[in-house]
Amino acid sequence: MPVLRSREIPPALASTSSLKTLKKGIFEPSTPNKSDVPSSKQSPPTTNSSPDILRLASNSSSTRRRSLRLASKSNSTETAVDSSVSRRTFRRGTVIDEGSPTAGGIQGKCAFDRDAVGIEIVNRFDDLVSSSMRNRVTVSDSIEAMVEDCAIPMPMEGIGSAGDREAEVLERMEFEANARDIVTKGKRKSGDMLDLTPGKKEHDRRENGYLSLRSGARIAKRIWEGRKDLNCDELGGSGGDSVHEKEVMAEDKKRKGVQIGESDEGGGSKMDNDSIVNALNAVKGRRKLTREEKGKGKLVRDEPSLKDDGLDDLELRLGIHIDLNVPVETDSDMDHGKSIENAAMNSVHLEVDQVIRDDKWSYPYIADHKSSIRDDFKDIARKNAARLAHFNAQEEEANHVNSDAEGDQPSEEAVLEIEDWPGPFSTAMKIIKDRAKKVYDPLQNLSVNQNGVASVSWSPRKEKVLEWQKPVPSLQDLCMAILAKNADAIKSLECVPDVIRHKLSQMLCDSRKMNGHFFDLLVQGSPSEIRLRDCSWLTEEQFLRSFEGCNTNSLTVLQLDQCGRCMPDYTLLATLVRKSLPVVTSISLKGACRLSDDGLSALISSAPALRSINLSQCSLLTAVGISAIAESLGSILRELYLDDCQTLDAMCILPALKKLKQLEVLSLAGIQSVSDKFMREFICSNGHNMKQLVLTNCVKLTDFSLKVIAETCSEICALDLVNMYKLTDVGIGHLANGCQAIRTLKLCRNTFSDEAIAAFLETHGESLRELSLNNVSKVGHHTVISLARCCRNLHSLDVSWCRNMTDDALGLIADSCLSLRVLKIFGCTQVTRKFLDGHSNPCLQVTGMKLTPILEHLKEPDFQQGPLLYSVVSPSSS
Amino acid sequence: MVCVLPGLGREKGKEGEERVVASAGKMRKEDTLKLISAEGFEFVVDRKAAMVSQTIRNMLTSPGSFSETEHGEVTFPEISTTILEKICQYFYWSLQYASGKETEFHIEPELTLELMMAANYLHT
Repeated sequence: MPVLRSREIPPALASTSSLKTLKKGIFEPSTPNKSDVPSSKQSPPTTNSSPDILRLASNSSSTRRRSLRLASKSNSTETAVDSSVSRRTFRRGTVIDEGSPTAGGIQGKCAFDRDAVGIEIVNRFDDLVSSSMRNRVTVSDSIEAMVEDCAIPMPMEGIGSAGDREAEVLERMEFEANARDIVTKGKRKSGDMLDLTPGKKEHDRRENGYLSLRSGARIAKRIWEGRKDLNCDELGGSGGDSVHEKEVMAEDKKRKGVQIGESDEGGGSKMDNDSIVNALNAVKGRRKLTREEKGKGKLVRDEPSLKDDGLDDLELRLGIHIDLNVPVETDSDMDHGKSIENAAMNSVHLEVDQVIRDDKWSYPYIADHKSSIRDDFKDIARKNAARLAHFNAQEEEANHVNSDAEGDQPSEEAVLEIEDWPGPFSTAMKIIKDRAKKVYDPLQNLSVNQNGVASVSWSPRKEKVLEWQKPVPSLQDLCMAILAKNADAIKSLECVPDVIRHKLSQMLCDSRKMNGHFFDLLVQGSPSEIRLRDCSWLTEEQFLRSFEGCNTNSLTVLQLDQCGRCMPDYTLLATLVRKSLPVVTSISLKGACRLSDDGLSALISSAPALRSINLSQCSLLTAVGISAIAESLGSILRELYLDDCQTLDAMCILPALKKLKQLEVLSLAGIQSVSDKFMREFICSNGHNMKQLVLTNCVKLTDFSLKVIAETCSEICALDLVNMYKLTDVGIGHLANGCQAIRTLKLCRNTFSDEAIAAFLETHGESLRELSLNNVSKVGHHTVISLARCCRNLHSLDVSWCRNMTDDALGLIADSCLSLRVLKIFGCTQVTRKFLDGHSNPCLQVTGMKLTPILEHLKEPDFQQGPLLYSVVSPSSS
Repeated sequence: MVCVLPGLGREKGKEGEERVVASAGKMRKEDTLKLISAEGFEFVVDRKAAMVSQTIRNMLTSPGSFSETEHGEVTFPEISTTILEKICQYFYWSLQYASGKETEFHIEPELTLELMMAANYLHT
């Protein structure tokens, strides 16, 4: 039986508007505009309006639910309803007072004079609760949505300017600050949320990660954070994963400890809270009204009959969230504050609307604030941000305590200074920073426009040059097209040079026209190279049949990629092993998923001259197979590709890898177990010869590995660091100080800063031939200037998804990097025809824009090169 | 046998020899290049047209002096006459295409493989 608190219903702040929106069936959270604010002074809406709203709410609950979510997504400014919010919170309290998390119970509570929004919230909560059992995610999602909708980001104008508002909020908070346990908790939570939301993006991401992934558990946890006797399960769907809870707990506690004082009770709000809150809000631009929290707390307080503390907290939270809708405009802020204060009088407050905004809000400095409220706000902020940010798995991972063995030493070292003396990297960084300080430097095409944003200035070419418009199709291409179309009519490929064979087979494989007939043509006789990048169509019988006619005595390159279907061990034994491959230098069996260690050993024994072996995606291989390779080919193997061999454990294959003394190319893409410790040991023993290291997706690696590589691998030519999010500018610094011969650098989704990349280019730009900055989003004008100045030999540049690359920037690069042939700008929708038509580089091929050919960016293998990438095989060696 | 190819006209020359005459105006020796096929057919083409082939262009423009540059003739012992003729046709078609007139270059399928190999050699 809900206990109705005898509270005055706070003046309705544009209650009519809320009614209106309700009637429309679409609830759009919005910030109250000026017109609404005065209405706060009006008498509170009569209770009879509430039932209407109630009915409306219940009727269209689902719609509203959805619309709430949608509405919150859109930064619409709707009139906020102070009173409605307060009412909502109030009702929330009563609803939850029931103490039973069941949908029915809560729903029953709806029969109050609450505004529809509140009902909405409750309804959603109902759903959440009822469905929680079934689907934790749903619960969390709905909670999230609810929370987000309810959250009231307050406009921020900056910490300094909101003195008055702060005072007001302070007052409000004080008023509300009837500190009670639950209230405290709520406050703490709000404070928490407060800290989080405005806080760093990582925070948000982390939180969001928690929220979105372990939704139910997380949210529940957070809600009841601070409670010793958490009873998440009662909420349904919220309990569960203790690990998650612990994490959340730890996380929240940590955050709270760090950011908020431990003050619990207290009549007044604390200054520290405010300052922290302010700071955080300033950063993120949200203002959390802590008073509401307090008010809310008070609400809950009055209901000692609450059975489920969790519910209290949830209610508190939700109430708080509701409370946090805030107007955007400054003026209305002030008034809003006042109105809020009024509302607070009744310990109910705030607008319903919640606008989640990423842009700067004016933040009223909350001078006095309780830590619990802060926590609550933090939670709310967290929830808000969750909806806007996206879950970044890497960030979340990065937050986990890394207890790997390499954790201790490498992390320390990574933290240390890059160099004891001013090395090339720091010098370059200094140059960059000085450059940034200059307002205008005509020589460097860098200027600061009126907004203070440094930008590159470049003027496009005036006249159009017609001959670039359409390249003439080459005769080879024309012939190739006809041949590919009529492949079945080809009688023989004798005397056809390998290059043409490869091109033809590649075209056929790509167009799925490859068949047994052409395969016969390829393998009959004494081919010297067989390259098939797609053997998925090939059956075992066909392979057996065709390979019978193959004289392998002069075969030097055998590439049968994606041969999983046709290459089980027995087929391998019957064909390749039986025929023996005396001079084969390079074998590629990518995707040979039926190949086991035994088959591999047999293959190795039949190919004594093997120098390059590609076993990517061979999922049956284990360390035994790699040891077999090391035993037989230890002295001659130059290239080893083990991409995506998930069954391999890096430390287990380390001894085998150490035996490969001549190894030049090592690809461990996708092998998660590659760690800093592995890198340290491997590089120290084999790093001197390494020319190419592919470490894509080896996410555990940190800057320490880069340090080791830079110090030891002096001959390294190609480095692939795709998706390694733990690398920081320190790592780039290491690379800049070593790796003198680097020619290919592939970065993707790394978090390097503009200055660091620029500094690296200053030091190594001369030798770079290929550079990929795909999704290294911080890249900006510093990098552009450095590219233009230093990268004379750059052939291929990929700046896809680098949103700071303007037309001018790309134009400058195109006109200055005279060797540039390929420029990829996928996802750079900010680039216009001004660049495409205006650059003066005749040989440049731009891919990734809407009207440019998109498939040509696929890296075509260079068939003119030999079987090994970095070495030449002398014919006499075996 | 001399075949001069800017206009692709053909006429029977003396003694059964085939002679392809230039239908365009007079061509000076300095502007032309002689391409000689495996069977000994000589194709006289514009230098500009021959430069479509990267190989020939490198030969003619490289700082060292190839004998071909001095005498103005290049021999291709591996390329048969029909193929070389087709290649010369491609040269002119390519110039035409680059100047804006975009037509289709038809290739007989039975020639394609050999033509492909010749084109690969000539880097065109």
